[in-house]
Amino acid sequence: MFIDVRTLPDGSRLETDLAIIGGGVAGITLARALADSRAHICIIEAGGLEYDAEVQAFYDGECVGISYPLTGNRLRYFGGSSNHWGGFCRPLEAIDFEVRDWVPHSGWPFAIDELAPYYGPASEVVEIAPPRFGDKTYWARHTGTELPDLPSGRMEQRFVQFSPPTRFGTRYRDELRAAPNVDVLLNANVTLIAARTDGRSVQAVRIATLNGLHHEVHARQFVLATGGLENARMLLLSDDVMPAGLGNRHDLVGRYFMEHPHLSGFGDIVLADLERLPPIYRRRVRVEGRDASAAFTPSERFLRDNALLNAVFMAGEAGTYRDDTTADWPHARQHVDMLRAASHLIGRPHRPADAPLGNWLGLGCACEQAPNPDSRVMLTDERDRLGLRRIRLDWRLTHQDRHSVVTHMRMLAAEIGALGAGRMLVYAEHPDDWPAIVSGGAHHMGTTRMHDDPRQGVVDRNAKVHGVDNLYIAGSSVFPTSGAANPTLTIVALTLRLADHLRTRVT
Amino acid sequence: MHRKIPADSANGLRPTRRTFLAVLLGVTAATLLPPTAPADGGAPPPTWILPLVGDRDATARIGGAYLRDHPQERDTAYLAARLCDALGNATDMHGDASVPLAAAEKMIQDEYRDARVVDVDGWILSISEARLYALAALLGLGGD
Ligand SMILES: Cc1cc2nc3c(=O)[nH]c(=O)nc-3n(C[C@H](O)[C@H](O)[C@H](O)COP(=O)(O)OP(=O)(O)OC[C@H]3O[C@@H](n4cnc5c(N)ncnc54)[C@H](O)[C@@H]3O)c2cc1C
Repeated sequence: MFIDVRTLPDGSRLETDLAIIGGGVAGITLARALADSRAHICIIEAGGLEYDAEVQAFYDGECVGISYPLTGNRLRYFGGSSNHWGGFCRPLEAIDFEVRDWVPHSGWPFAIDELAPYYGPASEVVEIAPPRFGDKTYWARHTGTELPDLPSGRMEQRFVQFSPPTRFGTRYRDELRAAPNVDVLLNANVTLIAARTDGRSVQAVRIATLNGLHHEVHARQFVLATGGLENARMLLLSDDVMPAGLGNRHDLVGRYFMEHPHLSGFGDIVLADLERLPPIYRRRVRVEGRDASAAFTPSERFLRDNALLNAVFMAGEAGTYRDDTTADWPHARQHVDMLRAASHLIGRPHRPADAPLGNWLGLGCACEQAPNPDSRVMLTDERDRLGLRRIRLDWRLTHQDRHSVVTHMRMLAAEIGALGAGRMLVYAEHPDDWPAIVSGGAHHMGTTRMHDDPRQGVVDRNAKVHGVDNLYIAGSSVFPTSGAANPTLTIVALTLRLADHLRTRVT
Repeated sequence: MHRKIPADSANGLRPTRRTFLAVLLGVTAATLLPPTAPADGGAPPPTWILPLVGDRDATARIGGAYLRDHPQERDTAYLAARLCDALGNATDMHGDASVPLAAAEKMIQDEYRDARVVDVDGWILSISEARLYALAALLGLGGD
């Protein structure tokens, strides 16, 4: 049942077995996964069923580090940020889970094997099944093209599969509405996770509405699933019993904020003969009703040998040059020069007169950033309409982050040459040549990181907040390291794993 | 064999149609090059690079950029020798062996594979490819 809590009598007290705070990707996935249990489940969602600027304004905040669009990078209504996600899906790599001695604070409490069984079901949730992220043979067979081996051993090819993209709020709305044991509370802003006096468990969550009402939801178990930024904010705001905030005994909540720095226009590839790079490397191809693209990632060996962070690169057709093209901007002039100079080495032996001189591929790059305690979410003294302190984000990158990307860019350029496919232009020779403006991928990770040791993590391996018996966290805020893969598939996989853990604890 | 020459000593070396044709005709480089250019005992120019490079002006710009960063390599004999080394038996530096394009392509791809690359105005190029353009630039070789 969907309930607009603005219509409930003021001061309503609701009881449930499992209260899920946030009806986005993680919240909806968890409710669906447990809908077949005997537990009563309540999703508490701040927004309604549609976008509302007044509600969205609660996401406003202040940035003191790298500039970051706090309101533009997430959505506050049922379905959460899946209402505008791009649908790029890829699992994390095995190495992303490891403690790497060259990456401070790295390592998950478990290896990829623990999560691997959940990636298949997660692929169904985001509607990309079958998952074939590393299966070159599959993509070669289904695209009817031979896919080359990467010669150097420094790079590997992976495949990004695209969700339609699944809009969780609309795709799964009817299913949740029909579930007899699931209630979805709409327009219900959680303002406090109220701990019992000893701070060791949660008693209830407080809700406020924009028409001035206040309610409470009491539950046996609580799951915080408000997104990677807001999860930290909610814990910090919940300071009535624990002055530093819930789960924040060791001053970790909000720290280690990670993004996937996205760099575009950082490098270009030119191809004199498009056929030398199969289509899946330069555009999305449709296979079995779904889109996919090839991606280049550094090999595990190369990462280990050179103590680097992970990254992923994807190329896309950006333009065609003809013999009579006027190359009237500097990079185009460079492209045309290279196509003309290298025409014998990378071109067709006898180019027909009407064939283009060559093509330009733009490059997208998303990179791992190392966990950094100084990159963090805090609270400002400025308050939102409900009187809650807003987010102050201090997103920081380190030399290690930049050095890794610049190295990988150069290695990708070498790989493109080794394939005999084309040539690559890199606009940064040194890590310090980074563009002044770096954007994120709207991936908010690390702010309630997972670690077995309460002094190093906010949640334990089961995503339970250390020191609080019945409070769990779902979403990418629990990622201790981020890899370079887009997070949502992993969020869903982790949430399905959490559902298995909670199944016996909620009834 | 390798003699370093001052960075700007080859500045007078202007690729012309005459040098290009002369090279094609097998005229010795020594008679064509300005006196500041290295004279390697009148060795014939490496005509084998012709099938490997494309448009002369484009090649000259990229090769020129490489030479700007590596002025000590403004030496046709040096560059030819380095390229011959890289190509192994596929040619010799006297310019009388033809280099199959496929062999050069493979050599260059192998260099990319082994990350033997240099940065030329932002392009990440195999070292021999960059030298190829540099040599062509110095000799004014390339197509139209
Ligand atoms: C433009 C864009 C493109 C993206 N593209 C991709 C992509 O291609 N691939 C990928 O993997 N990821 C992508 N993402 C990221 C992806 O959307 C997120 O990883 C995912 O939505 C996170 O899920 P979540 O459930 O943790 O948070 P959300 O989906 O954001 O859900 C959080 C929910 O909590 C609710 N909420 C917040 N505060 C409160 C409160 N106080 N009380 C009650 N409810 C509250 C919100 O209204 C929301 O419904 C993209 C994001 C954006 C913005």
